Amino acid sequence: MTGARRRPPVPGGEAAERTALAWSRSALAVIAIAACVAKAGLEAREPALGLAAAIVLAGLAGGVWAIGERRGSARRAVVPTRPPRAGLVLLTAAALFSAAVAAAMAVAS
Amino acid sequence: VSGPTQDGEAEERSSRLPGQATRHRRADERQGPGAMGEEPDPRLTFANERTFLAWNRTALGLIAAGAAAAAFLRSGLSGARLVVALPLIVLGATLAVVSLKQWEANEEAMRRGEPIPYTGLPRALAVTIAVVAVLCAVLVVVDQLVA
Repeated sequence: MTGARRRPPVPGGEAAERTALAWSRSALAVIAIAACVAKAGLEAREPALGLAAAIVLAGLAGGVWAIGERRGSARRAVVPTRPPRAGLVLLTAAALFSAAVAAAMAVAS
Repeated sequence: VSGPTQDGEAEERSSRLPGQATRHRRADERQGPGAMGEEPDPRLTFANERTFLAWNRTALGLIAAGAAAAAFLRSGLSGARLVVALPLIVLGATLAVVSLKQWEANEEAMRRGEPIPYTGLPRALAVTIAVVAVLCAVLVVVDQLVA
């Protein structure tokens, strides 16, 4: 025992950490889909289209990641931040964009 | 449940002019469920958020599965790939939107101290996956018969 001072526990701190990790997993899922779209574009001989869609998805994934990081910082605060509605809408937009690209690829192939 | 804060909010709402009330309601709608009612236990807020994220990852998984079916499924039947791929992609897109609505409804219920509303999402997911699985089985059998 060194007698080091301990910080008082933050209410919901572990929940905030788990939530931040869930945001990170979601960002990784969007990145994985971006990679698949880029690869599918190359195979369909539409590299520019595939790359453009992948870049949009990668940007959305970056936004999702940033929101997760900010959400994780709530564990250091005494009062948790409000639910990030914009982030949830962003993730939904990423899923819808992925669905549109996947449907277009399915119909075109 | 009607706590002192909610009574205070109701009084405040009733004292507003009609135009003011509309403006406040619009502001609440813009800010989402985080702007109404009482702040719930942060653990519940985070749990609701994680549930949304889990549904959204499921949606992304379904979309990826649909895209993979479109890219890699080989069948002698024309349109077989679309029959398998499109329902998965459409279900993924639907789940993404419905899970956002569900998150909002849950958040609102928690803030108002009401019970969490029932969700039919697991049932819809199970039924669609079962239907796609049956479709895949039929396609495999038909493909073998045709070949």
